[in-house]
Amino acid sequence: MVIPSNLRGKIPDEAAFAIEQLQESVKGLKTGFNSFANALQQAQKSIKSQAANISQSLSILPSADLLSSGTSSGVKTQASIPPTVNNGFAYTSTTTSITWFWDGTNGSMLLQIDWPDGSVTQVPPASLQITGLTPNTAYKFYPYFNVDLNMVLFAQVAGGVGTPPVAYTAVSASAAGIVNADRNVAMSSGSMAASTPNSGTGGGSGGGTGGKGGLQ
Amino acid sequence: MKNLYIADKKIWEQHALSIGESHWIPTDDPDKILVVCDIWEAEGVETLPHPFAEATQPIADHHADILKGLGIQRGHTVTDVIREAGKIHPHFKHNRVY
Repeated sequence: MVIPSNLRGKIPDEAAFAIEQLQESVKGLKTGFNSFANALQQAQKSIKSQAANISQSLSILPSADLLSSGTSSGVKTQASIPPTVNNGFAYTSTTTSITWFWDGTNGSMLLQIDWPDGSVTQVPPASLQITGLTPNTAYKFYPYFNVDLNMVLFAQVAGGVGTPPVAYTAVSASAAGIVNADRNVAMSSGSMAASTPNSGTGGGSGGGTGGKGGLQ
Repeated sequence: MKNLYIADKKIWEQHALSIGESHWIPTDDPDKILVVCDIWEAEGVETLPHPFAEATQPIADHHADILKGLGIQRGHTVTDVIREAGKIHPHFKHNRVY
């Protein structure tokens, strides 16, 4: 660094040396600042790029979401680990009616759905009476939980009898299809069986998919 | 293959969850029910003779006494119980028990 000509010979050598040192330091700072600015610019570009990737990923996620109660898509339970239904149903019957309970009464338990990620859905307790049935007859039922309606429904397809017509005297592939359709969670492994007695009353239990044993 | 049991209805209500599929009909004792299901072992639950292995063994007299309404008499076997209960409730019929 050169001492400005107007100061040459007018200031002590020590002062001139100090000025030189100061000028070198400023030069170094300027270089460092430029490097920092460049690095910052690169970081901004990288963050922008990653944000675009994240945004694209998030736009895909909802179609694969299995967990949110009340929402669903066309592929909700496909290619997924099925949830488990804990606890079960119970029924009482007369010669012409069957009432299914899942409200903690008559031997039933409050139902709970365990999702693959460890989250839990408590199924609202209720009961369903089916009337207009034939005495001394065994029926099959296909209950399922609908995530949109947040309630238990019984599959109702052609072949169903009773009021409502959700009782089947034989296996119904169509009803089983509804139970396992998108937005629905099967509440039993296969159908649930119940009978109307020939006289008097009767009852029983069934349902659940959490290791409750085989059902017909 | 299922077994038949006699138990208090309150005990069945407590165990219905662990039994899985089961069916019952009332007996002459208003507190007790006749149950058909897979293996059910619990305090207060009385098992009738096995439908295969003990088919010719008479059921206990106190069981026969509360199943009179079904047409069961002392000395009857579990096969008789299945036959008579099957007339009342389809899930007690022999083709569903055996």
